[in-house]
Amino acid sequence: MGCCFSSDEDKVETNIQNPNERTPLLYPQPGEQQNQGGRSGPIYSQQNQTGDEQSEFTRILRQTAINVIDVTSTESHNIEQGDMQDRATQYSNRLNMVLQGSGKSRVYRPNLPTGITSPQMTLAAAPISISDVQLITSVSEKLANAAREIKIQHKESLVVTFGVP
Amino acid sequence: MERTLEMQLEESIHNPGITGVLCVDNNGLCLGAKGSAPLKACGSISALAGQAAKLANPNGPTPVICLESEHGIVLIKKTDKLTTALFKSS
Repeated sequence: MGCCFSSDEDKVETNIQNPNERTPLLYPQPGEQQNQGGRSGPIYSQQNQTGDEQSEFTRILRQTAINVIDVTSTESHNIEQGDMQDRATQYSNRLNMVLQGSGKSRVYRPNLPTGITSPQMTLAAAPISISDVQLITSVSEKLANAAREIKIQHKESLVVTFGVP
Repeated sequence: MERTLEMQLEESIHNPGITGVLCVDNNGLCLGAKGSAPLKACGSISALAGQAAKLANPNGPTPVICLESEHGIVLIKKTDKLTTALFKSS
């Protein structure tokens, strides 16, 4: 007739008598476990923080990768390097011909401020003032509220019958 | 309708030093402009504000971007559906 506490002892004895790949060679003492847990606490929290930053960084990278259309990955594997060079030269020559002919050499200029000649002066100057930050904040809030009031009203059909008698 | 937006744009350009105001939606479409603001910069401003917002705390306020040049500064701020750019002369 077995007793209540005999099962645990049996298990331990069985493990020791029949060792397999999961049998630990050293059984850790309870005191050691507590000490290890106490020491590794801050390390775990640091790892969690780093993991959060890493996951956030990974999320941004994934979002950016979704937004970018990678045109090189579709065809570049099927084209030899020589053909690739020939095509690149041909495309750039044609693009240059079109740009020279139209007289628009700087089509993609976005008209934003184009750098400064003395960066040390700008870097040494005082940063943006609080009044400017408050100004842009208040203006953007007012404009956002005004934009929320815009409602698109349907006036005429967007589909026009063309050539139908 | 958009009359309120036009009035706010007109009001904001009367601030001292402001030479132009741009109002762009999240797709880079210009919703309104006043003063000497370059309309070609709409897409760039929207994209710039979107990239900067990714770096900031998503629960906090959106960052204010300041582009500095010798002739003045450009202040950019993004709200939920709108990006505002103020062109200020120095």
